[in-house]
Amino acid sequence: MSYPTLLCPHDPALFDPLKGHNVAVRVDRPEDVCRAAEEVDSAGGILNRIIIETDRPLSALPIPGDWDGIPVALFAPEMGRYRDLSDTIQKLYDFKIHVYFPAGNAENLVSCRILASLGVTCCLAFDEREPDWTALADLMTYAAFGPVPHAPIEPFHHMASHYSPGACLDWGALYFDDPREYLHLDSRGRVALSRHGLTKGLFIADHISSIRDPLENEGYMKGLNAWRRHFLEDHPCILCEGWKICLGRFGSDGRHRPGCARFAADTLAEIEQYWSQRQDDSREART
Amino acid sequence: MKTIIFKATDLCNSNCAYCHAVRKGDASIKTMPLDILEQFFVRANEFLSEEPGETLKIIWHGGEPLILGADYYHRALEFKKRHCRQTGPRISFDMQSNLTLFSRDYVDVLREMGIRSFGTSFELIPGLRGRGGKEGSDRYNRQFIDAVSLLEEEGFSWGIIYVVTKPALEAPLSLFRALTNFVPSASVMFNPVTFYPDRAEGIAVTAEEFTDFLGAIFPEWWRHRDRYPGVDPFKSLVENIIDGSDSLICVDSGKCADTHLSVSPDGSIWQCGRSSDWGMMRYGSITDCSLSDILNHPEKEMLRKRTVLLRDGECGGCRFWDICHGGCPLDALAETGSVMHKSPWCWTKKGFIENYFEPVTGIRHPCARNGSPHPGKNRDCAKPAGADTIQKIARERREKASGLRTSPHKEAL
Amino acid sequence: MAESDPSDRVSWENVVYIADFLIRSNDHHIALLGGEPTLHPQFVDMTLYLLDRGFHVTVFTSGIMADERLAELKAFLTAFPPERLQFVCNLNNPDQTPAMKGETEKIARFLTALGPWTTPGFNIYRTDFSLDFIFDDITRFNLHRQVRIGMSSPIADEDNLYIKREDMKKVIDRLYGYRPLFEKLRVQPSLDCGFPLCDFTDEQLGWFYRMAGPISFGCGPAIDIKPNMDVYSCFPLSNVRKRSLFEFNSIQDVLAFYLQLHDQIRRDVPGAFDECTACVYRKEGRCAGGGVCHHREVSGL
Repeated sequence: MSYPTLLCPHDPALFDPLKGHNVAVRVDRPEDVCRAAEEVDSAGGILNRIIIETDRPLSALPIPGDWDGIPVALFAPEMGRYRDLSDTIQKLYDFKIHVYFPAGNAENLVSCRILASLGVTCCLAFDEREPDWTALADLMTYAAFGPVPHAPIEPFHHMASHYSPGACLDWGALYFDDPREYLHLDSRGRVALSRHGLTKGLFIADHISSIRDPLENEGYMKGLNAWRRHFLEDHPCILCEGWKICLGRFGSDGRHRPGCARFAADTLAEIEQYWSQRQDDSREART
Repeated sequence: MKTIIFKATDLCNSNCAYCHAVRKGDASIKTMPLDILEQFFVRANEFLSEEPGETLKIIWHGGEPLILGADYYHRALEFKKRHCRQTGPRISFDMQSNLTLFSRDYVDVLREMGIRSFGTSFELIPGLRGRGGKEGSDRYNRQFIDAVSLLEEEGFSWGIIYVVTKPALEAPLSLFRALTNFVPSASVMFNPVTFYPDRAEGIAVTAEEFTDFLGAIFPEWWRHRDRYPGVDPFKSLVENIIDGSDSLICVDSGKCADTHLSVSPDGSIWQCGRSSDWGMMRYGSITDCSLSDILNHPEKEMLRKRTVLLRDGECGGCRFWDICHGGCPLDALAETGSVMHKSPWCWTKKGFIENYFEPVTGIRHPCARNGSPHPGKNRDCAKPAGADTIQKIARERREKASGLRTSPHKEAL
Repeated sequence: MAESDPSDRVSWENVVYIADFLIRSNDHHIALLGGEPTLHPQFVDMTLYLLDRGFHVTVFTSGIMADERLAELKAFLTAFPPERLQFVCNLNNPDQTPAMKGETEKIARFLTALGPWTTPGFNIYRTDFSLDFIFDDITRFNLHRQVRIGMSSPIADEDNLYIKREDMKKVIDRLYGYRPLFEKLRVQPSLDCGFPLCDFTDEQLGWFYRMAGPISFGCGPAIDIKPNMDVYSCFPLSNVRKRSLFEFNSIQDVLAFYLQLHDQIRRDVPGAFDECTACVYRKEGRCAGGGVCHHREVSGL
């Protein structure tokens, strides 16, 4: 297992000890993107991602030309009006910016479809708001089975392309929430396994320098496959037909909610169908 | 191939309510001394030298085999290398363990043994595993979860044997979903709890209850069998009945006399793991018997005769003979005092296939043919009829959505 | 429009679906119609989207719209050249078809702003039609030097005004009468479907060819898609054998389906008019024998 990427707030003082590490930086303002990227580079880190979280619609954000070459993940509450975004679409596409929208806003499901059809990778972030499961199912069908090539809509594209029978599918890394891929640092350099862990003060180490090999850190090992804890708590999700492609992520903070079980079960069934068809097509191609 | 259930220790760090280990005999030796361990490999080499076409699969068992410590296994490997220089390649290892004692210390030696996956157990119903009631089982399960996480990170895989007890009968489908969700590979084998006759302890199940338990799960499994590729006994039944495979587990093969042995910590050789646990069918000791001697033991001969006797007698004409062979002789012995009867668990095969497998799948098991090859005619029956295309699914989705909604986008004006 | 039923306007999901559908069919032309398409609250956004997807977009409009909507069109759509975006504005003779109060001014504002993107259209529904005003508008608003001329057709199972068979020659002759104006102002007469070949003289045919190129006397499916994804052959046949776009995999499949409908209609009586049966031009495929909408059996389907 390679060392996870270290996801930290935008504080150059944090970057110096991270020399040689893969680093992702969370910034609040689009204006800080280039500077953060330069600072990571100057400190000897290997830039994995700049993550922008903004409360402005995507259409209201400037995308300057010097973002080219910087891997950016952009969390916005909504797309805004298409007419205001039309000039920016090309840059979103050219710079391979990944756009994240909350799934709880039904308009965002439409926005993902629009942007993906134009070649922009979109990701739906599941939070405390209940999504429109019917609309989500329709979007999933489009994302996984749309006959015309389009950019990925996550997590559905990941599910469809990585599904394998007899295996669970953890797509948390798409949202920087997988300890195999990302460790989270706070402003003091303390290490947590997730954003949730940071906010709850669930640290596994006081400083990253104390984690030579994550597999030797007890807190880290307990956090791997944290979804298994659901089985200790008799959580309703453990009985869900769609569990293998959800692992509790369609819920909110792992909480079960009405509607997600049917959605997850239907999604799994469709993905299985897709997988099965691909197997048949490969078999035919070989014979 | 000969399978040897190798119980190097009877010690265990758990206290599972359904554990049927009740050995009669020399209980003073709880862990196999190194001299006996070494002697075993001498006997293994002796046997494989006499039988150039044979192989040995040694399944580390117990008790709990990981209680032995990594050094024990290093010594086992040393003995193997020392005494089985030419025959070593024909010896393979597996392990059945509760995994709670797994640590990095074991990784290298187990890899060197060629062990890549583990058989284990897991229990969701509190109080049935671990020590100390619910609290004990919660603690136990936490240890188990930590262990399998480490196991997976080190590249091992695992599957579970789920022992069906009385409490499990209440919600078979929920249990099935939870277990297959828990095990990433969905490799789950359902077995009924079996007890030495004196120890039913209120959690025993009857053959009918176990059959109905399986029957409650089977339709769900059949509907999504690609999703759950490793669930037994369903997977094996499909292989036998639909694919025409003649691969059978020991209790169904009718050949366990020729395929199975067990070794206990004191070096005693028994018919199999369960016979060792129940103190039945002991053949001798590796200290004074060769494995070839054991395979020619008169009791082994009786087991071979059993197969013929049942085929022509009690089981005569049964259309499931070729995939059952009268069931486990040990169960017959425990129930009737003689191995020369069919297993009292007969219904779990016959009853399940007639009442559940055949109605749900629409596929009928061919009649017994006493050695004739399987016609293979069932293979095409198992393909889903008219699988939907992705287009059709997508189209249905869109039609449904288009009829219900328009865009929720905000009004521009 | 704000009070209208949302199901009367196409959704974003369906716009994306239609765009994918056409692209998959290797078709990069799309026409936006209505009702009045510019009334859709997302009209500008959807049009921009289709342009961004590489479509050539034609919008059929009356030109009557609120000032705010017109401002949006000017702000967002005029960046595209007329080769990518075109309006076809159906204009009515102000004397023969008087507009409601304020509409004439709105149309004028639209044509002022978007003249260079606009082709005027004219629908003939009476034999004494007058085209003079169109030439005035072309000059005044710098419109495309082309007039798209249609002849009103009967709509199956509805009672609408249309040009009857016996009046078609009169219409053609009257249209030809505007030859001097067409030539003087170098305006192309572009004929829509439904004009029968036999009602043209050789001189008329030659002139139309010289001005606008070959005339198509065929009649085939135009394929209209409604907001709810219903499809039909063309507006006059909108009540005949409607299907859903979701039932088809490509636009070619849709066309093939409705060509079968046309074939079925023409199977027993080949042309819409009695004289078509013996007509050599119909037999040779040079004329479809009038629009299928005139066929007397249409209403029986």
